[in-house]
Amino acid sequence: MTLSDDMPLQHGDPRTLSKDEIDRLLGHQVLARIATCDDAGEPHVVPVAFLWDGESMWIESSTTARKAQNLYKNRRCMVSVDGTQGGLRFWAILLKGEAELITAPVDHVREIVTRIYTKHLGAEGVLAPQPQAMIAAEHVVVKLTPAKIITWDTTHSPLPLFG
Amino acid sequence: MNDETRLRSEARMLRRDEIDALLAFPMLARLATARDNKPHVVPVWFDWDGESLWIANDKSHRKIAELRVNPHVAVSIDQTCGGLRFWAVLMEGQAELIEEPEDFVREVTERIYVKYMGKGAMGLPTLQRMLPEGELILVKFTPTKIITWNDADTGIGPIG
Repeated sequence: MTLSDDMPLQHGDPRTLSKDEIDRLLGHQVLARIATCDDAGEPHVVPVAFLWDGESMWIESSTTARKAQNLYKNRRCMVSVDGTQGGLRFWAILLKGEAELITAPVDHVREIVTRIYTKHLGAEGVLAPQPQAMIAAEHVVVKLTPAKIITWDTTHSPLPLFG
Repeated sequence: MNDETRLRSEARMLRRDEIDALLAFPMLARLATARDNKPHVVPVWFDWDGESLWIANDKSHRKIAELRVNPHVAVSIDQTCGGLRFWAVLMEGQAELIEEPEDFVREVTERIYVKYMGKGAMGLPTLQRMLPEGELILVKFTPTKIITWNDADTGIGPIG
């Protein structure tokens, strides 16, 4: 990256992302990081695959995973989906709210997990033995319908990053 | 444990030298804090010195207010390599807030900016404006627990 003095002026001013940009960015194969906290008030954060339907974020988990164990006791969570294009150019979508944990009906849960994996692996990739074995396992699906969405964008063009 | 098993289990963790090499790249870390049982997470710039993660901040930021009440933090530094393959370095522990000496705070802050913006960064008036005198604070986080995953099957390193 070439540094010039007008670059940060051009790119350093943050703007917010439109609903359409949020939907498009969250439709890409990027990771989300979900933060939860345990009953001692200690935070936990972990990267996850997810599906965004325009209103809710769907994340696959299991009953033994720490994020699910934390959420069973305290449904509050916050998620960061973000990216950097180098230097001061980055974007972030932060979602905050209370999660629902869904374990039944099993067919519905498997359908959601299949949709999450299909997003990240493609329609053919999801048919491979390993993802199919993972889909057949037991799941807890975390559904976050954010009460608040905060966005920043100093790239002024996060979308072309994904082609 | 036969060789194959050993190799496979090793492949799912990152070695110490790999962690140090990956964290030297100008990637984002996601810093999670909590107050009153409400989790908070934001992407941040950082410097890793092999033992501690240093994060520069403005004293007025929310995460600083949270850390004054509850020093527990969790950090994820991770990257997808396509599909469901990714690597991650997850850290947990307690953070310290360092406000002085001011020269030291500024020196570490500048080191972080140079990591992300290059050597010429500190000459930029815009950056100088982002580092107001007397308003800087450092978060020093020495993790007591580090968990790593490496599902990347084609060598690791930041992409793009």
